[in-house]
Amino acid sequence: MAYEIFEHAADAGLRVRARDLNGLFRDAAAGLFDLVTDYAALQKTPEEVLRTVEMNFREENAPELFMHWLQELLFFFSARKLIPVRFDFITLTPLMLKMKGKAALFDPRRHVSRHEVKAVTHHRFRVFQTPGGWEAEVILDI
Amino acid sequence: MTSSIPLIKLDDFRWEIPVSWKPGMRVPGRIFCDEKNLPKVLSDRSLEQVANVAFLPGIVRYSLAMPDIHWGYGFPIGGVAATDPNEGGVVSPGGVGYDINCGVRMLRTNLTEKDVRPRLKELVGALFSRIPCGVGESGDIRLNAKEMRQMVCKGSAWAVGRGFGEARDLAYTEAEGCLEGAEPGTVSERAYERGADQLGTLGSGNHFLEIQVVEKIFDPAAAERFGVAEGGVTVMIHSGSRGFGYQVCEDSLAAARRALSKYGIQVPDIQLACAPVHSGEGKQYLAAMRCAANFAWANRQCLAHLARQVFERFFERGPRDLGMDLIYDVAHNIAKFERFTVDGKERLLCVHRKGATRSFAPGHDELPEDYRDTGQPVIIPGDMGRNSCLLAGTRRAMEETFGSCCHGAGRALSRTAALNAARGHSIRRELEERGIIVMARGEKGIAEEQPAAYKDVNEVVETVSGAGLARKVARMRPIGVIKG
Repeated sequence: MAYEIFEHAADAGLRVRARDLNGLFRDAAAGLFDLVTDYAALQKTPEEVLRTVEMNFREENAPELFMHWLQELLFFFSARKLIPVRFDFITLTPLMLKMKGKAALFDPRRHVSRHEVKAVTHHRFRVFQTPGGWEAEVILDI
Repeated sequence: MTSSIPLIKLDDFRWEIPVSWKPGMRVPGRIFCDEKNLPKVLSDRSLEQVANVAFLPGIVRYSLAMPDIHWGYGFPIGGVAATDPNEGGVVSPGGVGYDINCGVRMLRTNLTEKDVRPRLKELVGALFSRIPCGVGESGDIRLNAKEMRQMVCKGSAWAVGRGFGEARDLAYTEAEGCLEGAEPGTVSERAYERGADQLGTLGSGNHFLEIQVVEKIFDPAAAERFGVAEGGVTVMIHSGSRGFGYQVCEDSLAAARRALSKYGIQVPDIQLACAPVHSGEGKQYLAAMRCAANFAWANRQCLAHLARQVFERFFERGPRDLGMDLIYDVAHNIAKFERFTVDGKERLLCVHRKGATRSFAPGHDELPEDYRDTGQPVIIPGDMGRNSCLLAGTRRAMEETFGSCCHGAGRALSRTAALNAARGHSIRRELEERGIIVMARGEKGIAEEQPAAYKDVNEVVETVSGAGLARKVARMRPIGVIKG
C-alpha cells in the first residue's frame, strides 16, 4: 500500500509518500476512498459504466493544491456519489492541476460502506519534498 | 503530552490554566473534570487547545472545557467560548465544527419495556429499513432549489409545515428549531448539492437512533414534567447537518483564514481562524452557519417523524395513544447569541459550543412554559451498551459556563484501538446476549462504536452534576440501536 492510515482521536490521519506528484495525488485518492469503501473493488468497475470527471484548478503552493485535490474528491463523492478510479494528469505541477479521469458510481446497496469522511482538515496538515520525492500528512474528520 | 501546563486545582471538579501560561492568552482556561479522569484529559493535547482558544479576540471570562473534553481541530471537543461582539469579539467556524448543529433529540412514549421486548428485533428492523443511514445513503425527501432555501431559513418549522411532525415540537426544540438571520444566498452551490438528498438521513460514525428504557429516576418532579417514568420507553436521535453543514464549514474556514491577516488577528493554530462578529466575513459565516443549523433541526425533525411513523404502524396505535412527544432537542455544535450577566452587567455574547450542550436554568424565558420551573432538559448520550442521561439546566451553569454542559461520554479508544479490541469476537452478538439489538451497515462500524470505545457517561454526568452545571433527572439504557 502506498499510503498509511494513522490514528488521531476519533478520526483518521492519512500519510502518503511518493516519488512524484502524480504518485502522491493518486495514492492520496486511494487512501481517502479506502476509508470510505473497498476502493480496489470500485477500481474493477467495468469501463463502459464509468463516468468522465474533469478537474482543473490552480493554487499558490503544493500543500494548497493537494488540499484542494482531496476536497474536490470528497465533494465528487459526497454530492454525486462518484469515486474517481482512473486519473490522467494532463498537467500536474506544485501550482496547477488539470486532470481527466473516470469515476465509478457508488451504490451503498452494492458496495462496501466504511466511513463517512466529513471533511479534510488543516489540522497538522503538511506536504513537503523529501530526498525521495514527496510526502503528505492530513487528518480526515470522520 | 500537556503535563507542562500548570494546572491549578480550584475544587474537586474545577481546574484552571492561568492566563500567564502562554503569552497571548486573554483569559484563563477553566476545565471541569474530576481527579480520576484528569489523566485521560492530560493524555492528549486538548488542554493546549483550551489555552489556544483563550487567544481569541473578545473572549469573555474563560476558555471553558467540559469533562468530556478531547482533542479536536483548533477548539477541543467539549470546548465553550463566549465572545463579546462589542469588544472586538470574533466568531470562529472551528468553534462550531464541521457538523454544524450536530445535536440530540429525545422522545417519550406511553410504551413500557414489556410492550416492546417481545418484538424488539422486528421493531429495530423496521426502523433500520425506514430510516436511511450509513455512507452514501439518500433520503426520500427531495427538495427543489426554492424549497431548499426555504427549509434552511425556517428549520424545524419548515418540516412541521410539510407534515413532518407537530406544531408542539417547535416549543420543545432549542431556539424553536430555527436560528434567525439565516441567509441562503451566503451558502455555496456545493453545500446545496451535498445536502440535496440528505434531509431525513441519520449519517454515519457516532450518529444513531436508539430505543431506550428509563432505568432510574433521580428527580421525580422534573421527570414527571419531562414525561419519563421508570420502565418507560424513550427514543433518542443523534444527527446533524450532514454534507450541507460540512461544506458550509469548509467554505467558511477558507474565508476565516484569509480574515486573520486582514484583521491582524494572531492565533496559535490555523484551525482557530476567525473573523470579528461585526466584520463582513463574520456576518457571512453566521448567516451561512445559521442555514446549516436550520438544516440540522429540519433533519432531526424529519428523522423523528420517520421514527413516529414506524412506531405507529408497528404497534398499530395512533399518535395520541403512543404519546411520542418530543421531550427536547439540543444542539451541541453551534454558535449563538445569548444574553448573560457578567460581573453584574447583562451582555449579548456570541457563545460557541463545540461538543457542549446548552444547559439553561429554571426561569429562562426561552424555555417552554411547562419547563420553566425545572430548567432545560439536557440530553447526554452515552454509548450503545451502557447508559444515556437526561439532566436539567441550572443557575450555576448560567453563572459559570454561559449556560453550558457536557455533550456525551467522550471517546476512550481510537477507532483502530477499538477495532483491535473487538478482534475475534462479535460486538453485535455480545450486545444481543445482553438484550441490546444493534443494526448497522457494517460489523466494523459497530466495533468502532462499541461501548468500550467510550468513557462511561455516568462518570462524566457525575462531574457535571457535582460541579452544579446540570441536575440529574433520569438514566436510560439502550435496548435497540440503529447506526450508519
